[in-house]
Amino acid sequence: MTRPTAKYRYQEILWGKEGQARVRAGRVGIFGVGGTGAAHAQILARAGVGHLRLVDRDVVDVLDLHRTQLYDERDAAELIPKAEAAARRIADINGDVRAEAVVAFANADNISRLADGLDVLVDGSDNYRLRFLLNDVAVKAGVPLVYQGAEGVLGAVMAVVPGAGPCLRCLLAPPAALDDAGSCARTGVSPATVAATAALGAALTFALLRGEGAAVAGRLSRVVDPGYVTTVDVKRGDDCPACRRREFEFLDAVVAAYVSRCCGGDAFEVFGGGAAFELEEVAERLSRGRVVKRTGDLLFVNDVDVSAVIFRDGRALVYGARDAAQARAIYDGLLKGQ
Amino acid sequence: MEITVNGERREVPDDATVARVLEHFAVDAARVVVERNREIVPREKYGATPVAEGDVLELVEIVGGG
Repeated sequence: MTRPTAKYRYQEILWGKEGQARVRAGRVGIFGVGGTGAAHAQILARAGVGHLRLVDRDVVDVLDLHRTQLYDERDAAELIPKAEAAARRIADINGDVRAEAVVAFANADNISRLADGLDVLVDGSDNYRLRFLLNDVAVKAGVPLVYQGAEGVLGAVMAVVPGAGPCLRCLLAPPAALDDAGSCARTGVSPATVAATAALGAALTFALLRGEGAAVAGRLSRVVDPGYVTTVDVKRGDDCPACRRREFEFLDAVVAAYVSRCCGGDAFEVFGGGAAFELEEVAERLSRGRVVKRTGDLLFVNDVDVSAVIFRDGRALVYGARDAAQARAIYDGLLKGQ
Repeated sequence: MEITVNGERREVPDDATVARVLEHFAVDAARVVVERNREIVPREKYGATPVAEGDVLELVEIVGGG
């Protein structure tokens, strides 16, 4: 008897030795490890998927904990980046898995590099811009993508299998509010819906890793809390800008300044559009008259008038702002001239 | 008239179209995939596709949160 295979025996009964070997050899990128992304990551980690690249721009917020699978109150209290907290937890769950944390804002400039060398891309994002960017990179590179979305009591998943079925652009024109991640704050989000959506999504990832992409291409599933799941078969659009005309407007976009409300909490994410920060310099300047703490690639600013987390890549999470304009003003006040 | 929407019997106005049904349930036509009697309805045909008594509709929203 060889012990090493025992761990995965009950799924090997379903998938066979070859299917199991493919899952173990799988390299999967999860873009956004909030609600759906973290739950998806946990399922893959327990199943022994060989390499998980966990990409997230955010820190754990106490408002995430009701629906996220990998985080706890200490992560939220210490504002640990989600990617790092997820990788640490996965290392405890299954030592067979290489969990790689990438604390970054995935955008048109870096997405091709972040997606490089992966067998499946997983959409764990909370906004349409990243979702369409993932679709562009998947279609262009011919790598499958698992779309997941969850909002209120509704969830949806679909496998985008380039060449074999529709892509996201076949189903949906880009909405006006591309960067809006505030659906949770408006509609709430059901923890049961998030978990069910991620479970359906993970089943697609396993199928893709086992080489069964043609069978799941274009199967769009919907879940609603409580109790109804349905699946429809979607066809490719005849004139889809991405998968027919091969115009990749999100991949070709210039990365611009933006302010967006974060899905998880009462924070705004602000990007000034400039280069990465020299955190050492920013810390030194801000520490005159303000409480500043630095951990790795993050800088925490805590004061009576302002509270923010500053990322090396040029972004900041601003807490307590009334609206986007005030968040931008606080960002400019802290980081002017950087 | 009565139709089935996402597994539930629902009352909708007579002589409805897919577009009218979406409006009736306040579903955003721009981000929903509609299946009528197991056939996908192309988005540009929502206004021209009639819905009849007893039809079975599945409305699948491409939701944005995560």
